[in-house]
Amino acid sequence: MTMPPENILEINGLTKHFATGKSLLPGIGRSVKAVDGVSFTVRKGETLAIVGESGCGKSTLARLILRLIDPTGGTVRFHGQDIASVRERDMRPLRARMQMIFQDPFASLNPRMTVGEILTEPMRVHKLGSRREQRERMAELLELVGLSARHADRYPHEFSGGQRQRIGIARALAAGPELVIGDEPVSALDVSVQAQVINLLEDLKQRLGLTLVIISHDLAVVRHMSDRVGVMYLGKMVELADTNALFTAPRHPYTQALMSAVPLPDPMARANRQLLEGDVPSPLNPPSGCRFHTRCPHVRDRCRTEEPVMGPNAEDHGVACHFWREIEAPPRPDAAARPISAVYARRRALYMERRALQEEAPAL
Amino acid sequence: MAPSPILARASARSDANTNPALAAPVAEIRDLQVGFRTDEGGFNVLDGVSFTVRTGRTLCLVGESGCGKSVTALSIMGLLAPNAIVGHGEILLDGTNLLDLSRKELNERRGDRMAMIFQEPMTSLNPVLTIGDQIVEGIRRHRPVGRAEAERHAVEMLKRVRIPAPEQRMGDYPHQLSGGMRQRVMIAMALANDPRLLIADEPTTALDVTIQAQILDLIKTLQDETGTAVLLITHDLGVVAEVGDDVAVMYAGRIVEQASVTDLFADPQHPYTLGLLSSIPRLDSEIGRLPTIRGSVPAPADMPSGCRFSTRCPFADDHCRTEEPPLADLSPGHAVACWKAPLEVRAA
Repeated sequence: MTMPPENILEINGLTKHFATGKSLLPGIGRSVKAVDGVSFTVRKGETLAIVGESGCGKSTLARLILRLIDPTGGTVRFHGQDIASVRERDMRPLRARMQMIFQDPFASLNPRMTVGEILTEPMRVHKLGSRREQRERMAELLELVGLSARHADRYPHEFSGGQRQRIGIARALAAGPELVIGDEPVSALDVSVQAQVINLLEDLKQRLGLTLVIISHDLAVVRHMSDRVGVMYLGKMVELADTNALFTAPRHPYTQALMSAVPLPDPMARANRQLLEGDVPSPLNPPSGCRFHTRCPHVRDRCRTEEPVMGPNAEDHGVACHFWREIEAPPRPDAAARPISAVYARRRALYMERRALQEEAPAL
Repeated sequence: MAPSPILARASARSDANTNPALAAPVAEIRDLQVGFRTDEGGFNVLDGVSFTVRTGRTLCLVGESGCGKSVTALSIMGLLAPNAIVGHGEILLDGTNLLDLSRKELNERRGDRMAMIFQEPMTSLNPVLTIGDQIVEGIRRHRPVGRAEAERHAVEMLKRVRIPAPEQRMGDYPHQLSGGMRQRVMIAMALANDPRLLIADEPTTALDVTIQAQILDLIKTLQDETGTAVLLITHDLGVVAEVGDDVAVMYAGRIVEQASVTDLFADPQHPYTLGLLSSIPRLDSEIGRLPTIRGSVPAPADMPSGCRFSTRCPFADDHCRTEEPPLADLSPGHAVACWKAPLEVRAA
């Protein structure tokens, strides 16, 4: 018997319009519809990824969830409580329970604070524990993210990018959150360091029972880290599904095109890609009907006038496309995947075997 | 599409891709050493780098931040910062050592026989000139043609990089274009004088993935049409697999492995290459926990002796830590700088 999953977040019709420019008549100014009627839930203990290209509204969505900005419309419920209607003063205890990891570990740490101060600040703000307890917790946090207590008196500039991202993660964990939102948490890191940080986030999620929302443009990272994925285009959610279903049977033409565009690290997989024409239209003046219709290879008249709604089952595998049942799916990445060569497989096994021994040995 | 008449050098499609032996070397980098002088002393960011870029072929230089791939590109273009010192080495473009040339002679070649496109087109285009003026300037700097003819050629170039309504776009300023369109303009400028060598430094890193696919496809198509040799600098092994013919893997200022793209992915030899390849999450399959490479790249000021990867390498022994392994052929066309290669023989 499995219990139905408990929802930690319920997002309904969430909308954010930013006013741009000035109009002589109040209320008639143009606005960017950054997030436009997005609904989904986040289940306790899962990793949900939101994926999309620049300007799709994914970072705005992250900020709305934490109420770092106020929505134009719709609701965000955290454990059933609508955070948009909570007074600013009452937001603070809620913020301790939901924290954020930022993309740029260079810009998101105060250069004039020591690592110890950076990590104890959230505990001071949220009045958690005595000073001594805060110091102890700070040392624990450093160990937890693979650094050590002796790093507490150093400044951010003394660390590499990967280490700084570990500090950013430790800070997000300092107040003991249930929900952590990562806005492109590994995008600024080199591949070898990126893998370390991905593993760290997965370990921490397990150990601390966290719920993660990962905002990312990198489909491979998303496939690796998440249980479910939502795909956004121009402020709308166009598809939402279990990770495996999404990557093996993408339904929305945009999801299909996005996957087809990612270059795979296998020269034998070079394929005639389905290239999308043109650029993403401006969110100031999004296309009528389905917002993807200007670039969709399967566009029909209905798409230009009628906006598709998320169906058939938004909780299971939802897709916002009138014709998804009729579209012939292009070859999927999985279908093109070939096993790595025998010699590479043997050397990789050897590498991982030695790598494990290296991990047991003390660091140089 | 017919090349416009002012292209002095006829651009025949080369057979290079089908038969690498036919491909003539365009740029040869030999044992290049480049250092920087700073307040903390001097150190080498390139230490004996050698490779050849051939007609009609794309060589990818791949590596992580700080490995020296961009410094390599800037050395070739003669665009190094004033505190950089070329210790030794040669940079041959069609047999001429660029390091021996005067500033004037180098200027004649830049934007003409060799051209470069950068990661961020917004910072490499002049914001106060129309894109038409910028392309025309580049053409007239190297070709004895009048303004009208240069403008015709500029429109032709914009057409070739698939910019819609090129005549109208000529009067646009860079800020009026999207990121993908700006990168197309950069490519049009770079190819306007039909260069022998095109250097592309992370040309799609700042772009969205659907736009990246368009730009990579465009570079490949234009290369097929013109036979330009391309040096593509990237951190993305997916991009290497997608567009490269040959590849050199760089680590801490040295080339650690060099091979055809097919060989590198089927038969990776260097432990660093193995670590890199294994640590990328895959779009096309589930791989469980990601293998990693220990630690991070040492700072240029405290490079280890011997093999520079030895501090992170799970196979390293005392020999590796004291003596630098040479980049040596393991099989024809596949060179590795590792005492332990092939690993299944020497490290099992």
